[in-house]
Amino acid sequence: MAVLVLLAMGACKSKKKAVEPAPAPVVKEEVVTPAPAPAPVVRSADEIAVEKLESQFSSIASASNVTAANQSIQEVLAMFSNPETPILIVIHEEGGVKDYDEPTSIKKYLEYLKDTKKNLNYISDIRLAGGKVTELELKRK
Amino acid sequence: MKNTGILILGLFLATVTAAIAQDNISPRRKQAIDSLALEKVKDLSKYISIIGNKETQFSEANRVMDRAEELFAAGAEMGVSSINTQEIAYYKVRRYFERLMALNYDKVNITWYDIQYVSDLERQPDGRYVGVITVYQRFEGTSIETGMNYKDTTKKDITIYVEKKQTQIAGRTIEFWDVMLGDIRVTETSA
Repeated sequence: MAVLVLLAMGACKSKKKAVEPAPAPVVKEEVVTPAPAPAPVVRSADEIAVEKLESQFSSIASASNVTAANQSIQEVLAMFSNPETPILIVIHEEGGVKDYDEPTSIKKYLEYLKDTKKNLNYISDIRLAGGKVTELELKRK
Repeated sequence: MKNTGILILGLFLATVTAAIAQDNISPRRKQAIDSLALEKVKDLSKYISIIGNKETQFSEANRVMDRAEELFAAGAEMGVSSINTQEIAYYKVRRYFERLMALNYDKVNITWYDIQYVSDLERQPDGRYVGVITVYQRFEGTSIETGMNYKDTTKKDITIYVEKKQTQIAGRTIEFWDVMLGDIRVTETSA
């Protein structure tokens, strides 16, 4: 009788459905798309020219000797269509009206920077043609 | 007849209004013009220092003399004094610069300081602005061979003229403020 009981117990299968083995986890490979590289900043020819001229003006005004200043002056003149390119200097602007200092030429203005060692103005407007500066307007800082 | 009178009156009022508007320069605009003139005087001080410096090359000195001369009205004169004499001599500015360059020292140092208005720019009936800027000049000349060493301090008054002018730039009419320096008169000389 006991044997029958034991056999019955052993034969008693769980009524639970056999649990199917869990499927192997699917390893999802995350494809990490690298962030797109930032688009290169494209500067206009005007902006490049302004940056270079501002830097050269500062160099000329702070040159330690005449030779160094003259070298920078020649580099700047090469950026212009000719040494007599007019330079307009705005000393004041109010109500849309501009007050100008006496117009000068780029050659004279560069020599002015060299002589006085003053760099009082920034570039407010520039015009280029064929890669050369044809007009330049400065304004008091 | 009545309409003609009204028209004439209207034209007259318009003219007067325009004239008044031209006279009424805003304070900030006036300040910009004042600063412009003051900067021209400071530029002259740099030019004089370069011209008198014995280390300045001849070609550079001549170029700077041209720039300095352009600051002046036609016929302007520069006063020159000495602690050794009561006399004050006046020279046309170009002649002054040439004499300055030819001074018989081995080393020359000229400095302008305390540059300021003693008489603000005032509008004149002819539309020009006239004012006076005063400067102190320290002059030091040294001669190595003779051991001569001269120093003096001079106070000078500079008459300033500013007027609106026009010029053509790339086919456009540009109005600008023309600053002209007049006579530079000696008012004090000391050791």
